[in-house]
Amino acid sequence: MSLAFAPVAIPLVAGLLCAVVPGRRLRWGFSVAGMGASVAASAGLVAWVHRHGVAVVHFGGWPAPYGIVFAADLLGALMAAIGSWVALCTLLAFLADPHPRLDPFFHAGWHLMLAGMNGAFLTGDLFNLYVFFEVLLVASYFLLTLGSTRREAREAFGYVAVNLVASTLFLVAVALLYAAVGSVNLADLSRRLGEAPRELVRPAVFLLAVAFGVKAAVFPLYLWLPQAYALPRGPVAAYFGGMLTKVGVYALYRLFTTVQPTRGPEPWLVAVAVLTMVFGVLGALAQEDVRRILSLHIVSQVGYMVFGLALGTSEAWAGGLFYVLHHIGVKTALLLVSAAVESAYGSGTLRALAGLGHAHPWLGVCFAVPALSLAGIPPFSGFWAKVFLVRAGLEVGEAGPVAASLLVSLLTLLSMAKIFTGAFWGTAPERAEIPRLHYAAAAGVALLTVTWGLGGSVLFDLTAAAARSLADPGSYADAVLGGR
Amino acid sequence: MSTLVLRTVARVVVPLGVLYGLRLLFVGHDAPGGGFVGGLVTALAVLARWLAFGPPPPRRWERGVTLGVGVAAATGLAALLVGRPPLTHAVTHLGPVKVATSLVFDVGVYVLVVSATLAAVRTLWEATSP
Amino acid sequence: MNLLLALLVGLLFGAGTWLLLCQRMLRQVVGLALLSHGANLFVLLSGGLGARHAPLVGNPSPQSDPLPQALILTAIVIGFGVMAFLLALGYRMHALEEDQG
Repeated sequence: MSLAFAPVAIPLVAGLLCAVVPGRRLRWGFSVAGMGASVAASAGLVAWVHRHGVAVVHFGGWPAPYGIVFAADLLGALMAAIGSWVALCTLLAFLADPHPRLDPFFHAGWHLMLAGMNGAFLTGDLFNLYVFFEVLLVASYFLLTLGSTRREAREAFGYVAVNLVASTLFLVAVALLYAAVGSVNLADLSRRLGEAPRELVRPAVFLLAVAFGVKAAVFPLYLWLPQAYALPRGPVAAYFGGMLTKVGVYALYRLFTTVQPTRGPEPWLVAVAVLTMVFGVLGALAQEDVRRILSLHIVSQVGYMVFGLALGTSEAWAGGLFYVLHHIGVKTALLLVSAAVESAYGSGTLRALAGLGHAHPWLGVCFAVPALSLAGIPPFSGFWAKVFLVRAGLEVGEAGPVAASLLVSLLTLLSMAKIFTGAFWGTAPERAEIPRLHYAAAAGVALLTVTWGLGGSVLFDLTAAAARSLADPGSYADAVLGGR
Repeated sequence: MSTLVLRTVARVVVPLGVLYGLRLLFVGHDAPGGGFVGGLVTALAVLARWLAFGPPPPRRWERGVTLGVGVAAATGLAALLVGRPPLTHAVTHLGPVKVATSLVFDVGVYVLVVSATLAAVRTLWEATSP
Repeated sequence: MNLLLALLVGLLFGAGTWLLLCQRMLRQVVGLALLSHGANLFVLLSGGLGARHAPLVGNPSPQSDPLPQALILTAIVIGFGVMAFLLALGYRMHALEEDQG
């Protein structure tokens, strides 16, 4: 089923075209059209996978596990679809605020990043997961350092170094698993990991968890994140904030469901999740800069997603995946609003921004909706995400962590109120113009949270189906290995 | 940097290096080699020439990068046209010579590696020399 | 041979970590390079050293496991690219520093 490859092939080709064609307008045209095609292809893939099950591509016609495969199950396809949609919206935010000296290879980098991300979601092979991680990271290094000053270059160096060390650990883990099992195919691993020598598998799984934990920014591996996300231009930060950590979360889900399934609550993972929630939100409360507050909230929210994973039941995974998808939309919308404000007013500190709500009431709405959603206020998607997680947590008797998660969401609300009172209330500043397309981009992402809030059952049915297929790694392995 | 010894050695080594790079490219289907290694060896040979005789004026090497990726991507996706999975390749024998379509893919990689390496070095060269 | 290479991997990881903890940026870059070399060597070891007879295929001559080599080649290519990027980034930092006096 070659459709499973389309969400990677389309951005690759579109990025290539963007690198070749002359002229800014033509590049923008190709770029937006290519993004649109990626969104359409990945949405089509979701529909196909929902109806027919795992879509598998055997590259070069070599049968798995000997050849390289792409295996799109519902989880991967959903992530690719959301990622493509968010990439399109943030690209539009760039169009709204065109940089006079935008690097001619910006579009190529943007598409390459999407290709790497979709590849990571859809690949059925651990080593290729590493490769697509690297593709994504190299593109992100490029986008991060576009037009940077010295201090920014220094910060970017730290980001690159942290990710490089994590990738090295990832590679070592792949080698350990290959030595233990003799395969790097995910389906093959999930079938045969049980018979492999424990003394090789345990360190490998641990190393993988650390490597993915760095990318996902879980406690205590999140310290690189607030620095890195404070750096790049607004829309880039919005996309990074929405998607980059989710690739790590996705990889953790893949690791602890398909490859090395957990059954029932995993105490150490629950502890990591709760600590991530608490430390993230406490860090956010201490900050004064809008973007830094939002970045630290990413950390806190990642805790909820890992919490869903840690509970180890199909219902909890469904809630966690719902949380992932909800958070991508919400966080990107919040960061896009802060990007619009920053590019119009040249500052992101709370004190400098007092009174924005008078000058830009619609911007206030675009911020308030995802902010309330983030804190878990009905009727937005964040409310449902938390309801599903809390219910799943109580079902397996993890009352303590559930209580902690509710406390953290109260603190999240407090922190959002701080931004809102600080930045949007107060006396009006001199009004600066914010391009209309920027509203459209932010609204396009914020729309996700409203639709999922009001029609939450549609998305929840999808994530529940995805979680059921994760709970049954045998069917994934059959689809990949049993020559389709 | 450009001494008599370096220039004399470069005259001999550069053509040999380019040829060896090309050889690695062509034998890569069955023997150690391939587009990446061949491209690196070729790029090193060209760099030796630049060190000895000074670099040429800057060119748009990045076009070579896109050309290389384009060729590789096109051969990778071409299999879709005949209804096969992507990256499927065919092998035939032209007399005693074994020819595979993956050679075209490797040529793309070769062009990509040579031009990417030279582009990077040329850019940094420009930046570092006063 | 296995022991020797295992020690070498350990040495590379140790030296890489040590260099990474230095203050100077160039040392950190070299440290990262050593780390990735160590990982590559480790991948090579994971397939087992030396040539053995492949199962099932009736090939008379012993073969070494090609998969780790393919993995390493890919990892080297990636490492090469990232290292070039890091050095360029370091150069840019240096240049910007001079600009600002």
